[in-house]
Amino acid sequence: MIRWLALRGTLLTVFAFLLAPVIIVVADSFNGGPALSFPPTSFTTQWYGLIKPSFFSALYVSLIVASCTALLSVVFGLPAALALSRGRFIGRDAINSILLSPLVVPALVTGVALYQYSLSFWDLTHVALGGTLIGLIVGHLTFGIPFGIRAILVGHARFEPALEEAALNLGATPLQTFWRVTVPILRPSIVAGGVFAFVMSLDDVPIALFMGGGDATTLPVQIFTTVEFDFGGDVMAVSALIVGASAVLMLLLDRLIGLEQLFGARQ
Amino acid sequence: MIGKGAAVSEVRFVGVEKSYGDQPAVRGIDLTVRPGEFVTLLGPSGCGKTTCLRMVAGFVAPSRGRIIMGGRDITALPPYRRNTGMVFQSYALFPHKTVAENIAFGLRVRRLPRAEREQRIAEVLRLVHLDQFASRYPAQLSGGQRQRVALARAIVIRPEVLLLDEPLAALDLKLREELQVEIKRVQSALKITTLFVTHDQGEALSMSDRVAVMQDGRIVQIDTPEALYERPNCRYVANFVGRTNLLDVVVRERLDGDLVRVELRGASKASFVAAAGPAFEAQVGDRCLLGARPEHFHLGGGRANTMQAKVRSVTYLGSIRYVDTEGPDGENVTVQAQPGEPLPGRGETVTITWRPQACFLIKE
Repeated sequence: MIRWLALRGTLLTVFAFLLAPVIIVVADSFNGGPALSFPPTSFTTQWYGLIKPSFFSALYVSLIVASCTALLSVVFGLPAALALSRGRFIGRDAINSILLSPLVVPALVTGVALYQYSLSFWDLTHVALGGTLIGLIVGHLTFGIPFGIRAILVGHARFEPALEEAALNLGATPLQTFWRVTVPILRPSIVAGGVFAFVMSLDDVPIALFMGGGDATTLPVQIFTTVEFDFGGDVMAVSALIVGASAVLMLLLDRLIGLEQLFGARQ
Repeated sequence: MIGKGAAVSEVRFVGVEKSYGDQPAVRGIDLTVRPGEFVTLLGPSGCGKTTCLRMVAGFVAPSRGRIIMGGRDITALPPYRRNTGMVFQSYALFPHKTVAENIAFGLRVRRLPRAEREQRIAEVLRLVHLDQFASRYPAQLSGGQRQRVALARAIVIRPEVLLLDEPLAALDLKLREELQVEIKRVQSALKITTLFVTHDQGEALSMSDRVAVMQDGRIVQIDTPEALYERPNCRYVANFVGRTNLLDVVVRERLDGDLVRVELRGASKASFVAAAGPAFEAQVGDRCLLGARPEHFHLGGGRANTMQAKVRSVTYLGSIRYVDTEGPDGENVTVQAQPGEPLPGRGETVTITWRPQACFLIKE
């Protein structure tokens, strides 16, 4: 009984800790009183009407960048993961370790480095990467591709090689085998890798701070700068909308492919 | 009918060798599987039997020699240009496709018209008794049903040769016996050339037209199941196929016909008469092995060969009862008791008798 209570108590504490920021943001977005007073003093939905157009254009940028990052992460990630898990070549282990490094190196460091590169690139070619969508996508691919590769490697560990042999034996060319057998069977981990890359891209601030700006300002950067200079209830409303959208996305993914599959928890 | 239009091809291994680095896996195989024949490659793991099968499928390239199928040299052809049908030990069914879609796969890549495709799928599903399961996914089937789907998927493309890679190894005993009969029935109905790989001698004997026993990358004997069991040509085959008594003897005298008198090499100098096979060319003084199956030995009775032995133990296996005894020179001799015959007690001395025709000689 005590054991049971202790377990429940711990669980509740953890949930409360995790949900506290979400609750405060959502509650404050309906707060009729002065911004950032908790608990809310009166109820209003006016902040949702007062969201500035700059937030919507930033959201648009974020979604474009995140979608492209997710897509390109698996487009590059799938062949790379196949090569890493099946190939036998010199430096395979080294590449495996390097691919982990973006998960170890702070994103801020990557951001500074990318900024340096974009300046050198401008000096060489007079093509601007900083402050463009392309620059942002390139920046986000530095962690998107490793995440894509990781996710597909996890799925590939359970892939049975005889399945491809069966397809070849039945007369499918290597290309047909790839599209009709390999890709469909790896699809859950490919989707997982894409979703990870999408979420990471949407969430990123440090790289977007350095590589973005101007027309290429993402939503997190927009919120960040607004909080600095012009903090109001509309920021809370935007944040609450993001929380809502994330919840809907998670529910959809759970319905479509199952979250256990997505996070590799199911055997 | 499925069999209609199915090519019945001969498969020939010509001096086939395969090494991995300096590790030889197959050391020179010459073998012809005749059109419509069921040939089994039998041997322990690591003897090269699976490598041979995979060379026919095209997954392994021989280091030397050629593989001929239907008169065509296919050694250099990729797997998808060979038209072989393979059944894998792990089933290898596509998990994201239904039974019907799995079977349709080979027909789709061959661009068969939809009507013919569906007709062939329906026929082959009937043939393997899975008509009711067309829209199930592999995960919803039992092991035996999955293996039948794998068989259907392999034969529906009308392959020139059916390749079976230990297809029954993952199944329990009862299912294995059922599927042996099932596979044999389908194979006979289609008269399809079949190469079967197994380490299970029971499967090999019950299903095959001929069995090739392999050891260390070579075929040591290839024969019909009866010949393999009655006249094994070496100690390895005699021990691998069925239970055998092997006694160390020396040839003493050639008698009338193909009869030979042999003598135990031990102190007892007990002598027996054995029928030498047509291939046996023993000279007086040659060392050889006298072999006999437990069921060829009898406890008592008036047969030409007799031997005194002391009972060590009795093994009861239901329909079969083995009496393990110690021969005149301390050798292990196992006798299968006749049905209804009373069993001797431990330590008792028994007289074992057998006919000269019911044993074989192997030159050492």
